[in-house]
Amino acid sequence: MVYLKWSFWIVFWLLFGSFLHYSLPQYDVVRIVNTYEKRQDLDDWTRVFWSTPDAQSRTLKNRDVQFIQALRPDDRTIVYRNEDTGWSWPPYFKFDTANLYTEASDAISTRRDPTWVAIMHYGWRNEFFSIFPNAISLSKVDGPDDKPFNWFTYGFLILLGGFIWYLNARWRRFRRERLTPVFEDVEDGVKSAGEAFSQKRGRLRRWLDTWRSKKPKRPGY
Amino acid sequence: MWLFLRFLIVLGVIMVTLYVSLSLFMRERRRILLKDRWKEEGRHGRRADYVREGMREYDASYTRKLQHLVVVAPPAIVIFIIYVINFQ
Repeated sequence: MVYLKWSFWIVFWLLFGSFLHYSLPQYDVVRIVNTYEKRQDLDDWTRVFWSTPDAQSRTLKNRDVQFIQALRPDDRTIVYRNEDTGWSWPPYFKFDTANLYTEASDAISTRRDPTWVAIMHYGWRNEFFSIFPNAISLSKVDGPDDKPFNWFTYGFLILLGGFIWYLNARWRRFRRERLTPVFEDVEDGVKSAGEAFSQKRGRLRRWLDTWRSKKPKRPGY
Repeated sequence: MWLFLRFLIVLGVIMVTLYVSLSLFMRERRRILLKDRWKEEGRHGRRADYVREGMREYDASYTRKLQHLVVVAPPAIVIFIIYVINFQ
């Protein structure tokens, strides 16, 4: 039972944590290499990792998606998709995909004369599922080490932590003041019922005993 | 358009549910508090009058007015996010 409880909570927090890690914004400092557009098939389960920019895109089996290719300062590659999130989840309300595409194309630079940009994005890159993080916005930075501080994500996590702590404290207080006394009452009730039962049994036993032949307890008395 | 409507409906339902339950809950709590206070202060006058007067003060208080944030804040936050993400 203890193992079951612990595994439940571990799985729950892992899922919740990965949901937050997927949805909350993060910054990458990168050098943009190229931008391109590609027809993307969207009719398998990885559909959840693509956006729904407008209503008809929910039923489309494939459509064109814009991508931004970039290199990190340590030369690892990263490719972003560039899609409207619109009015759907996650709530970034991004409608300026075409503008971002223009900015990204403008920021293309060579290895010799690099232009470093900070890209705010959410989502994951996974090569096996062919999924890409969604670029939200882009700003020029001074160099590869000039990473903007992620005010929103840290603030959100602190607020969320405070809220969960508050809920937990309220739940503990509720359990201590409302549930425990009730359970103790029930326990006492069960106990006294048990005592009453054993008393009854004692009486029954005594009554049964009256039917037995009355032998002297000690022979020779 | 349908996505926008869906967004409005979902947000609206959540906000209205929260607002109605919060204001009912706070109102009832204040009413109970006023009744207790009437007892503690020595039961002067009619209890109903005391409670009605207290509720009138409550309706004018910041506690009551701040509850409107439940309805005002989410659209304001959404408009702020739209501005920051798309126009900055």
